[in-house]
Amino acid sequence: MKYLFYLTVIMLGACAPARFVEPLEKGELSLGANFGGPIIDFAGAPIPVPLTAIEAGYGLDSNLTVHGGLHTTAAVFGNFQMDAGVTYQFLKQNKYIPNVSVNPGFNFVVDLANVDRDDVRTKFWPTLDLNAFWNYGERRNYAYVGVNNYFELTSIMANDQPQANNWIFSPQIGHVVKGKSNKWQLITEIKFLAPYRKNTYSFIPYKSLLGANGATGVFIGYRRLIGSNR
Amino acid sequence: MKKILVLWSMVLLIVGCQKVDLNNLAFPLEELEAYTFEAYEDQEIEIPSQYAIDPSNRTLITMQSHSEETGEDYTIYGVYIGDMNTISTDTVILYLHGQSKHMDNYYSRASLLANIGGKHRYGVLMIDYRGYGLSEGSPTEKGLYEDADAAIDWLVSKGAVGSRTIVYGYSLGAIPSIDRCAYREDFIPSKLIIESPLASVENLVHSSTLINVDPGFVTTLEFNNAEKIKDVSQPLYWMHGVEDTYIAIQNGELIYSNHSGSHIADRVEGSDHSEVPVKMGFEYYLNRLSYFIQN
Repeated sequence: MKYLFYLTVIMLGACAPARFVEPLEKGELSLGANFGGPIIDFAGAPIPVPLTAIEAGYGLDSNLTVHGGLHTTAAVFGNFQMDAGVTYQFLKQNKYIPNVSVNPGFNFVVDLANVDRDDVRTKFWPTLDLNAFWNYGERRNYAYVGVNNYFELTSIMANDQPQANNWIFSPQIGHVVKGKSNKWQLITEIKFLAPYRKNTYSFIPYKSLLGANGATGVFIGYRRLIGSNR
Repeated sequence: MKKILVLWSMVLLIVGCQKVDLNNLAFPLEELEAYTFEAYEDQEIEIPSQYAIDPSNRTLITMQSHSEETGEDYTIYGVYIGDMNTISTDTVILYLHGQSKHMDNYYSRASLLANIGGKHRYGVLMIDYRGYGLSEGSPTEKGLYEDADAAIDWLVSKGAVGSRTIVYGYSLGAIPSIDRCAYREDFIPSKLIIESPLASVENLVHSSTLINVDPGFVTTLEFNNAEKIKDVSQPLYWMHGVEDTYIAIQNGELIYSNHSGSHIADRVEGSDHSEVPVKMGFEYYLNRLSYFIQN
C-alpha cells in the first residue's frame, strides 16, 4: 500500500522526460505518450515509478515547436496537471558542434475538487531545459545530453523551514529512434534527478545510480507524427 | 486538433470526477477475530523471555470512543498490563502504537515498558485505534485524537491523574500523543515520550520531491507534529534511529528543536525505524526511560 503513496508523492514532483529535444518540422503535428519515473526500491527490487503522460507538439517553424503534456496519473487523484513549453533550436550540427535547443516552459497543477473555491489549490513551476543532440544515420535518429531545471518560487517549505531547493538541476541523457519516413519516434531517457542532494532524508526509498545522491529516473515514450514532410 | 482536445477532456471527465485520496494508506491496519498477544508470532520486535508478561497480569478492556464527525460511539479495545485495582495510586504509561496491523503486533513493545524500573513498576495501557484489531469504526486523523481521549477517559474512570501519567507515542502514535499533551485541558500528562515520529505530512512530501507542493492534492491528512509540539509544555524524551529509512531522523530533529521545554534525546546509531529498543539494547532502553520518568 505504501508504494501507492510513493507513486502519488512522486507524481506531484511532475517527473517526465524531456519534451521535443529536436523541434518538429514546420506544420508538423505530433501525438504521443510517455511512461516512467524515478526508480524506487519496491520490496527489494528496483522499479521505475509508472507515471504516465500524454503529449502533443506542433511545429510553428522548422526550429520552433510548441508542446504540451497532460499528466494522466495526476488525473486519477482528481488533479489537472500539465506541462507546456516551446523548443527553440538555436545551433545546427556542424562536424563536432552539436545541435543545441532550449526549452522554456512550465508545469502546472490544480486540484479539481476545489476549483470553484477562492482558495483553490494550485502549483506552478517554471522549467528550463537545455539539450545538445547529435543526428546520425539515414533516418537522422539522435542522441541527446542536457539538463532539466525546475525553479521553486517559494522561500519557505514545510513547517517554516527555509526553502533550500529554489533551483533543482537534473542532468539527462536520451536517445530517439525514428521510424521510416519519420512517422514515429521512440524515446528513451535516463534522468539524474537532483544528483547533488542526499536522498536519505526522503520518505521515498529512491534508488539512484549515484548511491545516496538524488534519484535516477527512466522513461520511455512514443510519438506519432502527422503531416510529416520529411 | 479539436479531436485531441475532446479526447483530453473526456479523459479528465472520466477520471477527474472521482477524486482518490491517500488517507487510508496511513493506516495499514488488520482486523482480528481475537487477540493473541504473546502468542502472536509476527510481533514487530522480539524480546528476551525475561521481559515477558504473565498473561494473568494483562487485561483486555473496551472503551467508547466518540466521533464528533459522525456522532457515533465506537467500541475500541485496549490492553492493560499491571494491576487494574491500583491505577489510582500507580504511575501509568499510555502507549500509543504505530500504524501497522493491531495491538498484537506491538505487544512485545508494551511488555517491555512494563519492565521499566523493574517488572510492573508502572502500569501500561495500550489501545487499538478505530478499525485496528477488534476496534470498531475506521481510522481518521481526528479519530486518533478521540481514541486517545477515550483511553485517557478510561484511565480517569479508574482514578488515574495526569501528574502520574506518561504518554508514549511510537511513530504514528506520536501524532495523538503530541496532540493530546498539547491540547487536552482537563487531563495534563506529566511527561511525553516519542519514538521515530514524523514532522508532518507536508514535510514528508517536500523532503521527497524537493519542491513546495501542497500535500492536499492527494490527502487531507496533516499530522503536523512539528507545529503542535510548540504547544507541548511537558518534558519530552525523543528517540530516533539515525538510519531510519522510513521516517528520516530529520523529522524528529525538527520536532525536538521546536519543543521549548526541558527535553532529552537519543539518536540511535545503526537503527532503522522500528529498531530503536533493539539497537539501544533493551537494558539501556529501559534504563533511559526509567531515568526520564523519575527525573
